[in-house]
Amino acid sequence: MEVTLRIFRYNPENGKKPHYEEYKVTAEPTDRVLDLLEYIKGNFDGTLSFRRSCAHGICGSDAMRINGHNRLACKLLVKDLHGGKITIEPILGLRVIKDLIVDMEPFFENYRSVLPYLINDEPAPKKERLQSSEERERFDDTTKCILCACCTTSCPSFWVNEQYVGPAAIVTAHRFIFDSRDRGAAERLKILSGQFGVYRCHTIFNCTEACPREIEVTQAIGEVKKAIATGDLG
Amino acid sequence: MSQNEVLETDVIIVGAGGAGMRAAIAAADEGARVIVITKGQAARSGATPMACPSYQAAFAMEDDRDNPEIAFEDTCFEGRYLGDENLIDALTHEATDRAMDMYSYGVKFRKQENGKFLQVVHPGHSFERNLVIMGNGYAMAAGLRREMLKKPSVKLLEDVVVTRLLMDDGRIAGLVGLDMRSGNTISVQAPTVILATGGYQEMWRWTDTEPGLTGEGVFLAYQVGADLVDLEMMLFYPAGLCYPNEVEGTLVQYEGLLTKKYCAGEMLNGLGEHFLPHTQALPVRDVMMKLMFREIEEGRGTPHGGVYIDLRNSPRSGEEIRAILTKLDSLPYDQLRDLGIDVEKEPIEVMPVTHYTLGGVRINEWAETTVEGLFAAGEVGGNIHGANRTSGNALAETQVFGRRAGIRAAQYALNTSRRPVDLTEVAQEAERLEQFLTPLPSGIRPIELKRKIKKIMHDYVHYRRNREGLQTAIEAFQQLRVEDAPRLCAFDKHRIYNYEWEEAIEAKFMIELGELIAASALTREESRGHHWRTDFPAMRPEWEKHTIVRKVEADQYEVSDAPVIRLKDRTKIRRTADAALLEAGVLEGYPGD
Repeated sequence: MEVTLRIFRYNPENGKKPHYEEYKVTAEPTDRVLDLLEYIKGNFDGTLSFRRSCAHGICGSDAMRINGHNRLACKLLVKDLHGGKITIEPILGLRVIKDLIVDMEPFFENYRSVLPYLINDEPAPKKERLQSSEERERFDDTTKCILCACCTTSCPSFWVNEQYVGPAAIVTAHRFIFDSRDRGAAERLKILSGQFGVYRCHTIFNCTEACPREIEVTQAIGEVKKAIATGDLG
Repeated sequence: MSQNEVLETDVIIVGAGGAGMRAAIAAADEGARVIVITKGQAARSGATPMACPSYQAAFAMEDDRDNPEIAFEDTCFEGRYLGDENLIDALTHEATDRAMDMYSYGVKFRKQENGKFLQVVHPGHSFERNLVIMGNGYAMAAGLRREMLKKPSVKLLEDVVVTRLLMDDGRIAGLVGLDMRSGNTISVQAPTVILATGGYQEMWRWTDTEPGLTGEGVFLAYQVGADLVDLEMMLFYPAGLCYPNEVEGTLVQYEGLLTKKYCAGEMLNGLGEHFLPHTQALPVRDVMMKLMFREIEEGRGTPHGGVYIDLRNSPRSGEEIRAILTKLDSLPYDQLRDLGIDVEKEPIEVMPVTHYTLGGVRINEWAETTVEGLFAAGEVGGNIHGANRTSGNALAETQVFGRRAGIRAAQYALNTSRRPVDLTEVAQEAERLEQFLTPLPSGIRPIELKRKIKKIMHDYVHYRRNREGLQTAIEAFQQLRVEDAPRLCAFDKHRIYNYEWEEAIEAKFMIELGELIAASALTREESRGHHWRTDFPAMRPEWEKHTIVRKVEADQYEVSDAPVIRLKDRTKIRRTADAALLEAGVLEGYPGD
């Protein structure tokens, strides 16, 4: 089948304004959007820049806005786009460096701000810090995050203010706040109850819709809100 | 950052996968200042994030007969006695402690009902030995990144391609790289460099790895005079998808799907016949590779040139299979589901694909190369596993040797003076890189050149090799070097995130590396593990030694050999091959009963 890709293009070095370019390619229904981008780069236009690494939905490099929805280009098949024109743009809310590549630094700054590591100053037990299966289950969903930024950059609250830590950082915080071995919950909840914390979330659910790992992002944010309100980590 | 600025540090680490990040943690803990440079992004590029969840560590939590000594013997034997035993000793005895390190960073291993770690048996293990990392290699890489970024003395530079190591009087002085974000070269001064750049699977057409594994770490080491070892040893993993085409190469973990204890699926040829010999355990990778290719070669392959993995006759129900695949964190399941392939209901077509680079830079047990100040850890190292690698040893290797390299490099750096960086050399390198941006009327794009390189490797240096083919490959690479390399240029001369520029740098190195690989393969006149010579089909005792490639002058290299380092007397202590495998005729020259 023939499909048309309409791709956002921006090159800071050629003086042209950001614009869209169209490419016609022949595609198999089971081609991934990433395959089409590779095809265009390899055959039509080598200047097209986009991030990619594993092409398996694991590494989270190729988040982009495809027909208005944040998706990983390597997980979306042509047949699931139901024909017509495919519009591909960089994820929103972060500065575009070139074509589909954005500056991820503000995103990672937000991520770092929630102390994304295990905090526990108690002396380590002889063998290990034990955790039951149920305790592990408590934060299982949020361990799946691959920091692709699909959620954060689909969030209107983040578009308005990039100082808002955003869904991905809250998901990461959730993963530690509800980890029975961690002792940093109070500190993280304090950060997240601040001006740029969870209360910027207006329960819009864009994040949940966008997550390629099917994490219940909005629910995780809700649980953090509840923990702040009640002080209960149950 | 201005073009002329020279950064300064104690330890430079090139690569931010499992080994690079573990080295950074260790070096920082020793008190060194560290700069980690990666051409992608930390924990989301390279091999580690894509790795299966298997980490080999003889904790004996499933079967108390297991211990590191048995793991040592398993690794020596399955590596066809070509791995250096001092390295294997470090690997198998330290893997457990390093697993616990990761555990303390928040990397989780799947557990049994009784709270002990789940350990699974994979081909080549005497007992259940592999830990299952929850969330696969990605979760491991993410955990290491978190820990690394906690260290204030570690600075991370992403999207920087290292293009040249700098030397002073035979010792490491620093390096030069291209910063993709600015399009400028940068240089860093330091007395030590740890290469943790992974392998060169991308040289071949069928691979299950990501496209960044182009082997420049190996070539950078070669350029400054380090010994390369056993370059001909490329591990072919038995199960990459060969259909649908667009996911060609996607890894399907055959161990979980075929082992009787787990999914109990079957491997069948294109005629629907069983062809694996009747052995107790599933054959290891080099044997599988040969058995599978034999079916395909002799006309019994599937429509798309592979063999089938078929779960339809499994005694397990669909639900049980799903539960097992979840428990084993079996990587491809989600991916297959996305593509609309239901492994319970239809057979999948698989073929062997390049998976892991066994050869590489020669190191000692402290990850030191033969060049002072230069270290290599992880897949880029070449003499650990030998001619075949058992499952789980790659991730263990990243941790054991990453840490060892980090400690030793930090100690060395803190007790030595900085070497001066030769700014003329830096300028020359910048100029060399600039040439790739100069458009030529008869220019050749890196993507075209990479296709040519892959074709040569596929046609002549693939799983079956012979003298004539390897000589053809060497000539073809020499021709590329003379005719194509000077015309190599990016499609366009913009600087910021010009990935074609990066690919041009890679392609140039790949031409040179391809010749070295072919020359190594030509020298080893026997078949051993994954090196399969049709003109020398048997394993030969006199070849139980390393091939060594070393640079002698600008464009000149020599191939020699070196003994394998032994801790045991292998004339006396040596396992024999399974009789059923010997009978299947793919282990010619292997000692039997």
